Amino acid sequence: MEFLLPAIANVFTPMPFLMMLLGTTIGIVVGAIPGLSGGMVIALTLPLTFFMESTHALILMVSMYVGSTSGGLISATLMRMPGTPAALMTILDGFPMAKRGQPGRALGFGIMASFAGGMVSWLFLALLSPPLAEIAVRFGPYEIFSMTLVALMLISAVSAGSMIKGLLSGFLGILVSMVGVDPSSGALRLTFGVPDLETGFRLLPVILGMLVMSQVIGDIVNINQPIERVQTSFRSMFMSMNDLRRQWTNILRSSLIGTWIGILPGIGGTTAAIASYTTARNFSKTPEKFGTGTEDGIVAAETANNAAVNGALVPLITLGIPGSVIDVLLLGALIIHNLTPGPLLFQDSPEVAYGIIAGALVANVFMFIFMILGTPIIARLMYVSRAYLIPPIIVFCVIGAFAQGNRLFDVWIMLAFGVLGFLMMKAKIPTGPFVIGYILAPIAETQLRSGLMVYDSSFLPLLTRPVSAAFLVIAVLTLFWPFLMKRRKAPTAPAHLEDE
Amino acid sequence: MKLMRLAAFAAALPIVFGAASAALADYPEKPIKLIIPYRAGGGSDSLARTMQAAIEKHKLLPVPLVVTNIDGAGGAIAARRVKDTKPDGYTFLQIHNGLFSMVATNKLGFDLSELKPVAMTTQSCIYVAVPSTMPWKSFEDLVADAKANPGKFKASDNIGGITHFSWLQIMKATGTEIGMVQAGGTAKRFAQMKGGHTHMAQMSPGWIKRGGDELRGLLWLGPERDPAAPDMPTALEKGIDVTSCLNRRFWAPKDTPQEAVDYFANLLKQAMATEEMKAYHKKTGSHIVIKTGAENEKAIEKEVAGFRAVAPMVLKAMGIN
Amino acid sequence: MQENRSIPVMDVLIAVLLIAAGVASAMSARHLGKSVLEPIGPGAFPLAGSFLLIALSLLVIWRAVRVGTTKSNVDEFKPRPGMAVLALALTCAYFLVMQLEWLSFRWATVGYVTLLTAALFDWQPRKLPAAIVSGLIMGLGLTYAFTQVLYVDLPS
Repeated sequence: MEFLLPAIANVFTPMPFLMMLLGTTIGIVVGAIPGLSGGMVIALTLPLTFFMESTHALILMVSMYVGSTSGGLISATLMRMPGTPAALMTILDGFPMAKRGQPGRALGFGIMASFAGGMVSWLFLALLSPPLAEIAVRFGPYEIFSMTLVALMLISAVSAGSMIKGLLSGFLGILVSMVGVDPSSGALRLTFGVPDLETGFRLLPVILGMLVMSQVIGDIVNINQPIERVQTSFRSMFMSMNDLRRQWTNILRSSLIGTWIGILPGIGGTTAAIASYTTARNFSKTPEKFGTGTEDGIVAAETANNAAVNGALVPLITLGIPGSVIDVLLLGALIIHNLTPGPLLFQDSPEVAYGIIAGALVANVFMFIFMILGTPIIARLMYVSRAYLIPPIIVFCVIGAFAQGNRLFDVWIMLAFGVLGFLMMKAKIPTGPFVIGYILAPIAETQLRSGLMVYDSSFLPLLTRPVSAAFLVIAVLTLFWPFLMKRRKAPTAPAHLEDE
Repeated sequence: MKLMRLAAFAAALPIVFGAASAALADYPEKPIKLIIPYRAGGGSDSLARTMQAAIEKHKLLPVPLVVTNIDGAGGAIAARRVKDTKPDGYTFLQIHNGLFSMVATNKLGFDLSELKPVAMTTQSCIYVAVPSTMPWKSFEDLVADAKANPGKFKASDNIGGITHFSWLQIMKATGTEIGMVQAGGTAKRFAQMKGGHTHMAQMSPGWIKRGGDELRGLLWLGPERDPAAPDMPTALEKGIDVTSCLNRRFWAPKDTPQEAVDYFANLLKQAMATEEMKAYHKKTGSHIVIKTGAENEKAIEKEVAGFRAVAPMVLKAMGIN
Repeated sequence: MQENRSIPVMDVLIAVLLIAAGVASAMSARHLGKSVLEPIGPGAFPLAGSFLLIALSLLVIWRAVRVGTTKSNVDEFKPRPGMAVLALALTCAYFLVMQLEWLSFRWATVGYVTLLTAALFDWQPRKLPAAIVSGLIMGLGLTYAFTQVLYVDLPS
């Protein structure tokens, strides 16, 4: 509390408030435009934050995260396209309801659900993070290693599409991260005698290529994609008390599912929406109505994906492990600002740690206001031609890739990963596990090897230290999760729209 | 009134000197590039950017000084780039003695003679710290305990970095065996010690204040005691012939004209005399130590020899034989 | 039903590519030594990663050949791979003129954005003015914003 209240007050001072305003607005608009996603715009923003104050940079990025996750519901409802991958499940019921002549009602439910999910999960973020960081300070190399292993298993096991392809993508990311200087010993490896490769494949060129450029190439191929329009009227956007009374159990349950899936490292909004939608259908007395435009479906999906945003911030600020692909970018921002992500963030730079928490709260409230007032305008912006958007996005990718090391070499790397990412999407290999593997593998490797240095080359403490052992058990269980889940029927998401 | 005029005169002085040396030749007539081999926001970068602002404010240079970050491979990428640029006096490199650790472990990829030393400006010495939960009150306590239990105690370190070299020198001089544990930068070393997984680490002087009562400094590795921690004895006092400091130097491509090198060295001296740079060094716990010409070259030779002496052990730790 | 079965070419292509990458990195990592500080050394993770990558790629090929795929989603619009190739070629040209220092970032960007925007509109003449405006905004505006306001270095 002693830090949280001043941090919230700080968001209302001019510069942070401007960042929050900009971030949320841009996030919502970008989230609503199909072909642009939250991950893209946050990746493109990362190089711009080089010379910002660290708290401002994080508030900007967190606001974009909140905004883009919510904005996706507008295009999902009105265009039958997920503006951002996390809005995938919202299409199933949002679009039919809108087509039935109730677009305002569908949007209203979505917006209210997003807001509620954000608020409930924010409580967890604010209440859970400081004590968790307190405990995590005691975590040694083996604990962190086992935890990272859970994250690596989760992302490949739960990623959309086939598990083998998820793992394949993850291991490719791992291998790509190994090029350059070995973080444990300083030795050079996998450089194939190319001096420029001694820096390794850096964060920005890799991420911009994999997450942004690949998508842009896909957008160019699909430039003829027709856009469905729904007759738009925005009456009755507010949920009535009666609606709320009917939905509150759904909201609460979906918030909890969303927060929990968000907290699990490596997976985020899309998985949360799928899980919560499935659960809502299983609990429903009228499961056959799901997919035909039921309010329960919209509420379940939208509550959960926003809840996952705050949930995913928990491992990021307490452990330095990204809770979702977008959190990888926030992690990058922390590192670029010379902050050490992990439990000591609360002690070393409380203004940043609490700044993130406060930013998430204020952005969520502002998102609600802006969505209620601005949706009619955004609904028009969504139809802007992609031909105008694509070239500037590529130019921003170039600047971003160049800015990290002042080398055109990195720009070529960005393009190469863009083509690779596009080919992977064509082969229905999700790119999410790649990014997570790329980020987590160096952490896992250094921690394991540091652990060996601490415990005199013995692996045994991995099993005898309780926290580490518990995480290892979870990691193994996670690997077998898909086989357990196979018997259950779950609505499958198209593989190219994997988790973000 | 008089006082103000005096102040204005004092501020104008460096301009006069700057102009005088520039008049010797046409140099410099275009922007001078200063390459920083580490990413924006780090220690090397903040020194360069503070200096750039000071030079601009006091108009010490008639042309712009452009700071460019080219990070990667511990600085090797930038060093190679500078080595290969045209030696026209418009490109300089700022790098600390991590450069010598790369020389000693053959990671640089070229001979150090390919670069021309310009000047050393900044020294920031390192000290051995232990968590305050450890019972050791002096470095002798630590050595006695470590001798009784070889290999039992661990130090958080950055394997292959300059502190790794100084640990090996300390172990050699005291006849102890301390286990190295990879942590990374000083913040990560602090985190590892705080978690109770390791027992000591070499820290940068900023941690004397930042570490508060959670850290206890036992041994100062600078050539003499530091005003920031006057009670901390130096290794030399204890008869351990080890010094370890982060020495920041400026370099140019080998064939850069001597005139340009002297001009830039002089510019650095003027910049270090500004209030801004004094404040910067005070804030970071480092000191302005200017060495140029033969004095600088001699110091470089000595440092490189120190790194070379323990390099085989570092290479073994890196898995290179 | 069975008539629709076909081998997913893209899966096989990617898998072969990844096997090549895996073999190359395994060969490269093989020469890395052991550290005296811990038993794993710098080579173990890359080696294990390479082998797993190769194994998984083989599994993907096996599944592609054995199981195949049923073409289910027929696109309701015409995909334009040619357009993507053109865009990539333009992008490469854009990088090259900067690499060879023929044009500065400013003018290279003006040209690139104008051409690509026009191409994406299928060279419709009435969209040309908008494409030129877009190019000028991006090239001149971004150069100003990044060098004068944000101090980010741009390719010179």
